[in-house]
Amino acid sequence: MDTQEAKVYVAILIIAGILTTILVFFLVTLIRHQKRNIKLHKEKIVAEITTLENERKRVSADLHDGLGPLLSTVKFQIKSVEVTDQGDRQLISSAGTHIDDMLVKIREIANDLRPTVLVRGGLAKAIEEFAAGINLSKVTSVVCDTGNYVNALDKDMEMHLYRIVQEIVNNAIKHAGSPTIDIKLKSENNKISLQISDFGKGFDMQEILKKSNGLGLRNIMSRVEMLGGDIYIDTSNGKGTVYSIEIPYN
Amino acid sequence: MSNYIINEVSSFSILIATVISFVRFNHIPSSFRPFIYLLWVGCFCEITGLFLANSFGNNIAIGNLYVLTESLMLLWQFNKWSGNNKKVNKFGIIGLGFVALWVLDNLLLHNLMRTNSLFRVTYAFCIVFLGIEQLNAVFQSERNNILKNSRFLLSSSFVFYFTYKSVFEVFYMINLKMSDNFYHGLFLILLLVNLFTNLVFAIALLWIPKKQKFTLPF
Repeated sequence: MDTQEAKVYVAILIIAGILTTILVFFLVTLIRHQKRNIKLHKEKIVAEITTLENERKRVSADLHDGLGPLLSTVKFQIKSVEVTDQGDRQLISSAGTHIDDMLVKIREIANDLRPTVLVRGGLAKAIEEFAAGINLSKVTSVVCDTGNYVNALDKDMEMHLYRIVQEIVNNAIKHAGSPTIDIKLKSENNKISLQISDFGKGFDMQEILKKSNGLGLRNIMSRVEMLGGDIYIDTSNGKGTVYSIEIPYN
Repeated sequence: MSNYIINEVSSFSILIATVISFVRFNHIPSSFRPFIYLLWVGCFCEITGLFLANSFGNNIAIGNLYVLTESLMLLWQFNKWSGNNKKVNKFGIIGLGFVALWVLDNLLLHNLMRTNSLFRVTYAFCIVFLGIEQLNAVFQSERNNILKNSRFLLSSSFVFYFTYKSVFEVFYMINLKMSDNFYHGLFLILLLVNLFTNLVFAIALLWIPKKQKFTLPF
């Protein structure tokens, strides 16, 4: 290389250096912003879900402890009314039956909002009871395997996992049309592993990803993120769906 | 270190990633397959190129064929990552454009036995833009450490490598009246960028998860 060429070459090296610096700066800035975004996003979903759960807890307590006893009192008061007319007696009896139905309904709603079995018996029991409820309705058959699960999560975390199970199973019933649903819950290597499989229609994941308007999926995703876990979905049209969720714990 | 050794080390650094891809092939999700096949094709071309250079003193033709294969396989990879299932989409149209430009550059305007830069500059430039688009998609969906995301590492490498490639190929395209030493010096920079990129490819391959995580954009 002569002097002129050497100068051009040095200029090129400088340009290459500047280009590298710009590219590195570009990436570093993006990474910093991505970290900040994740933090804000996590704070947002934690706040949203915590508010939602607190509200559910409050409504459940109000229904169970406020409205329930009130209705029971009304029922006793109505039953204590002494009437001679046959028609009035029938009317009171019918009102009593309606109040009983209302009490059952209130208990169901309260339980749905804050399952007592989850609070008292833990996640495995709650899932088994949830599955038993669906099996009773004969809409589909849910097979549970929770034998290898050891209670390792706190109640709030269990509540999130329970909601995830509810959402996935309800989705499978509503959209997949699967004859059976398998639920496997186990703890291994400091991880809770939840696998739910259905054998229904499946779906095109890319379409869902592109539209990203599935409220149910977004809800599941948010809860998994909140628990610091990962979710894997194996599905395609006509081939059923397998949801695998892994939640780490200490 | 002589230029020849740097050239060989840089070219054959692709072997590291290729070996990893063979070992991990069954554990890598199908969305990364085009890149794996590209590595294999790249490795095959390096070996064949070395053989041709030693036997006939010229491996330019295989280089010209390789850049077309590379451009189309990278488009296939971007198409896979974008999750586009449509038969006709932007990647298909770009691919057709690539083939047409390659034919123009290598068969109509020039011939296969010389280094034709028009196609190389254009496709490298396109890959940079597609790489940036992919980086943005990764930033939207990754919730954990992005430096361990293989798509991020691969896309960054593509942006890095093809930015240099498009810039340096311009010198060959306009054919400046410079000495061979100057062009060797220029090529040396690209070799070092290539070496770095191949090493990042190897790391990215190690970090490809066995199962594809499910995420939704923010």
